[in-house]
Amino acid sequence: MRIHVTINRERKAFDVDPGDKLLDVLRREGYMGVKKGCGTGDCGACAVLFNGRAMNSCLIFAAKADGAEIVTVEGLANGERLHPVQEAFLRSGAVQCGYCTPGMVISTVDLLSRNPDPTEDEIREGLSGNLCRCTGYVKQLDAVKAAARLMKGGDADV
Amino acid sequence: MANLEKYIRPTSLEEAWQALREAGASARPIGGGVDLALFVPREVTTLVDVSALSSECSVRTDGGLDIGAGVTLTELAEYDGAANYLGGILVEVLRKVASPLLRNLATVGGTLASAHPWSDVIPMFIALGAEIELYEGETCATALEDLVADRAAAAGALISRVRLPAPAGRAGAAFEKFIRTGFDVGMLNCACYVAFEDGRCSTVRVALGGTPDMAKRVGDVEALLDGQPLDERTINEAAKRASETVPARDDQRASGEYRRILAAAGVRRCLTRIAAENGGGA
Amino acid sequence: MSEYAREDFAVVGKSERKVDGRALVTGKPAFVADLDLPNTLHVKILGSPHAHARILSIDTRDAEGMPGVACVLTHQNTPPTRHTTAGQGYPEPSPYDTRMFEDRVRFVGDRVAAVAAETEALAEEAIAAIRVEYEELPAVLSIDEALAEGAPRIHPEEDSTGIYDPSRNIVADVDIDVGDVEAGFAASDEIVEFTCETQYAQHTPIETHVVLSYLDNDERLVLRSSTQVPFHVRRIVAGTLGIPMQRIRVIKPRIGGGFGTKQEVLIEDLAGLVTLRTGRPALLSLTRKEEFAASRTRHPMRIRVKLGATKDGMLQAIEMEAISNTGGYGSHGLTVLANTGSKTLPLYNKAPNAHFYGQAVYTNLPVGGAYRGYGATQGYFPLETAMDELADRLGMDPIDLRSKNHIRVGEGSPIFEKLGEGREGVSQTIKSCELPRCIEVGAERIGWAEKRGQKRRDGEWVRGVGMSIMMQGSGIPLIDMGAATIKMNEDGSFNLLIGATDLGTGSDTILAQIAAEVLGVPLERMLVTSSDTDFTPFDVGAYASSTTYVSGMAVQRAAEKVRDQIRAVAAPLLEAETESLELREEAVFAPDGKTASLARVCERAMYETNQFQIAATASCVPTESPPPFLANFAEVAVSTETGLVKVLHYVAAVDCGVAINPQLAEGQMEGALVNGIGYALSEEMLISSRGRVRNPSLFSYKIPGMLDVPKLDVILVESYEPTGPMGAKSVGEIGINGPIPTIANAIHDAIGVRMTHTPFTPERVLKALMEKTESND
Repeated sequence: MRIHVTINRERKAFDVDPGDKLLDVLRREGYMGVKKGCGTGDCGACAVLFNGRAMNSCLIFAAKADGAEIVTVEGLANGERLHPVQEAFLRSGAVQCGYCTPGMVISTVDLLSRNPDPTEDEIREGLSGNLCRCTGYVKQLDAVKAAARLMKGGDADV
Repeated sequence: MANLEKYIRPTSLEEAWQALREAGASARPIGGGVDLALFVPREVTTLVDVSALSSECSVRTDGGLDIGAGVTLTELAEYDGAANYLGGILVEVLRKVASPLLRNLATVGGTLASAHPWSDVIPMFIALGAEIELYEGETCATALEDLVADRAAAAGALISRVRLPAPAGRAGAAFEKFIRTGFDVGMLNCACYVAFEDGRCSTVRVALGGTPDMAKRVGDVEALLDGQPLDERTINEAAKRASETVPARDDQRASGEYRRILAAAGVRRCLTRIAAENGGGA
Repeated sequence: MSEYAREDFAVVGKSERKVDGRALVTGKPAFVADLDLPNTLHVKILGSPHAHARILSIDTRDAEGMPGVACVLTHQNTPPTRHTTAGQGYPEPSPYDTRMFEDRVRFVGDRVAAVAAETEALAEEAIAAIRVEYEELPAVLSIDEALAEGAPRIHPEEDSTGIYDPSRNIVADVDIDVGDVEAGFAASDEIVEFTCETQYAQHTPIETHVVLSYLDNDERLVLRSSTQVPFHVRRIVAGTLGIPMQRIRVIKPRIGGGFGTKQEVLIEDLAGLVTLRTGRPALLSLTRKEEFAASRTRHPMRIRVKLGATKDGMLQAIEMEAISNTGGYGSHGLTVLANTGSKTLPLYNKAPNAHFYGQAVYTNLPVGGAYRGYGATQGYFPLETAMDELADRLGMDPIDLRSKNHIRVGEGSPIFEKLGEGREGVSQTIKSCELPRCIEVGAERIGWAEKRGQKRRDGEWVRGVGMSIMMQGSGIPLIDMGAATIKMNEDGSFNLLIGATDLGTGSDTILAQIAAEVLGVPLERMLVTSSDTDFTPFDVGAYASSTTYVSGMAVQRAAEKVRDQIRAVAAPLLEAETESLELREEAVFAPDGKTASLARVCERAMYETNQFQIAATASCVPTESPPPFLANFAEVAVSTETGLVKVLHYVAAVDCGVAINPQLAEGQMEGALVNGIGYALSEEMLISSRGRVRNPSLFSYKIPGMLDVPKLDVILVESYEPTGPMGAKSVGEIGINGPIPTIANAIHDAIGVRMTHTPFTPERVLKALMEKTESND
């Protein structure tokens, strides 16, 4: 079946089988920034924005994506300019192996778009579905706080 | 290996229902698809996506809450009618369910249909006295606890709506979930609802889930509290009774013995909070 | 000896951004499976349903005949070469007890067959069509069963080598003595004995094991693998497949974590053989379930520690007896066992008598391998618990007891030379140790004096604080080697070619920082290529905390050679003596102030006079392994109602010498500590009575998430290691050893129970508390 989706603001059409998952279709179509960590919705590495909400793409049937707007990590930067969340992650040392990073960044973008000034507890809850084994989450917490400051037009390092 | 051949997106309940009826056992309704994405039974060749149907919430004139089956868990948590219902208990519980990523995708209807024994939503809805509307060409209603107790009875029917009753004049609800890490299903969960009349418990619903079995009301505990004040003595008795009667057993998350301890702790904490928030019901 | 002074650093000591950071944060296709080659086959593995069985027959005809199936592999059509999968230096101190496929399986999930097909789905269907006839054998499901009289032999075959006593399922046996422990105990006023058991745990890198193999235009086999040990992969795959080593190229691109499970040659042989047989690229990626059950795990251990001290707190004797469960194969069995003693006992070098005894034992259970900490993680649990208990009995503050007995600068320990990695070790004297200061700052930060012994109650919660100290190592002396090549470009940039393996740790960055420091350039002028066996010089890989110390020194030496060449070219230009020239700010400076840019100098060497390529290679084989030191402090709250343990505050004060990149060093510590907290509180692989892993998923094997991270303070207490590059030591592993004993000691401070089994789940803690309460009544 043919699905029509908008990915990173570009209109696309793909042929998919009814059983295909969005994660596999995205990677098949070249969106390698979307990572597979478990395939069962437990790690969050595959998170994308689906109609504006962060979701595990490994759990979304591709057929369900017909007509949807999807944003992957590849769609966040504006040419040379990194998205403030990406910039904050780099600055805070929150990227080690980088495999969980796209999913973390997507969840952060979703969180901050709804809650521009989250408390630390709200950040932890917002990113609770993204597992990381390298960083211990400490600098990722810092990164989200820094991103919030950047997005409010301030300085990342306060 | 999934044998899916068709994925259809009907635009009405009737259309969805017809599609399911025609295909029989080879079709399944799909909400967010959180569970079907992990496993589709071999005989299922058609998925009927109902997530766009019944996707509204509303507050009834009597103050009760209607929740469409297609509403996602996040949407329910963000609905201001939910924030105002019984002190925001729905929002408090939903924040403990899975992760935001999963809540953004999972629907209320799908959650009830999957009926995982560790579900937090189900014991909460049971304690609140939820009624489930099913669509089988026409609408009929059933209590949630009956639905989850006997899944076969409702096989083939489409869950279309959850109806929560109007909260009583003086009432409170509370929820406890015992976890290992923050993003986890519970070793046990506990949902309590108490309505008061003249300073005494007039309606009591206590549901324990993840025991590790499907959430069930603990009739003995409820009977103990019926007509009683909610104070330290009755709360302790209720907690003790809960640990004695909860049908707990071992699984990989916890032993039955430990779950009995958690049942007592859960009931005690829930009831203590309800008592405190309602001035003991006086 | 290092001539670099901290005050002068321009690049080292700065928290520079990772050189690969931007690519990672923008989701560039940098990982193994992100390379999409046409005609790639997908490989799937059929794993054994039985813990112990002989394969009587395998019928693959149906599978082979299915459309889209390119090749099916079993013991019937693959090389029978015995090898070890352990990624260690040759000759590997692990038994050669593994075949690609065998007519015997030794744990649930052990390889039975493999299929390569056009799609994953087709490969899975073909797997299901393979018919296997098993003869189930009695399974050995515990250490005690393995050692029992008449236990089934898990490795009865004649052609395996390097097993200590295969007839008794003993892979390794280590027994070393210093002095006479019995005499030491006899002279002691107080004796403490403590026995514990540690659990099966898995590394759970977010990217599972994955390899993409293909033939290049010269028909050489290229293995693009998520590995920590590219050079060991090349050598071991060549041996296993029986092809010349020069026909293989191994590339490690960006990888999604390893933590030791990828210090293993686990799947490259399989994908490689598929490519050789079919001529096509082959992608093999373990599922998360396979990652749990059929890759590698932490070695579960049972360890007994006995300490004796005189009443002034001076240790007289330390005895440690460890039994390690190495699972169906002996990979890393000996070395992890040896490390359990070699990285722990020297810490308390004041004890004149010590005895370490251990065995690593086969079972029909998941296979233990390398895991961050590598035996020390298990060993510090009983050692630091026993020290805590000893302090209690002596009426001493636990800090004071540690301070009296731990190793200091200028001191050594006989254990260093008696116990190395599987064979004798290397004698060494500590040249940098800020442990006393680590203890001091850590104690202050946690509020030790105010909080210890208070048992502050808040409803159901009781608080306590605990501490522990530890050391690790920096590489394996006289065995590990790292090398680096640096070549200069005429624009003043440099290519840094290093074998060293960056698994996300940031080694590409810190090694480039070291080179940049020597060459006097900003970090951006270093172009790093790492872990490609064709282009980068040899490096053992990322393990044993070797990268900063060993590979770093190789980089420093290579950079110094290049610096000398630059000086030699610049000297006539600047009319000065070579030795008087300084490199900084991308230029060469003469004492009289004359300067020439590096670009100018290279241009001269490239195009003008006495042309030559400014370039150098250097190696480092360390002669010692200077330990990083760590003092841990934790405040916990324990629920007396449910047994839940919350870590309120964790302080880790660490001495890793000079931190080449403080942000990255902190990152290493934070990641290791949180992994250790998971190991202490929630992570546990559960095994059924038939040897099957019951919880092979992230849903049921609970690793810490964002909601679980306590207030975590990592304090870098810098020392200066004279033998290290720029004064550095390594830091990659030590953090993971901290949480178990520290939290255990804090739990004791709170509720008076000594936990003996990890993880300290709420149920275990409550049970221990209830038993204590009952026995007090």
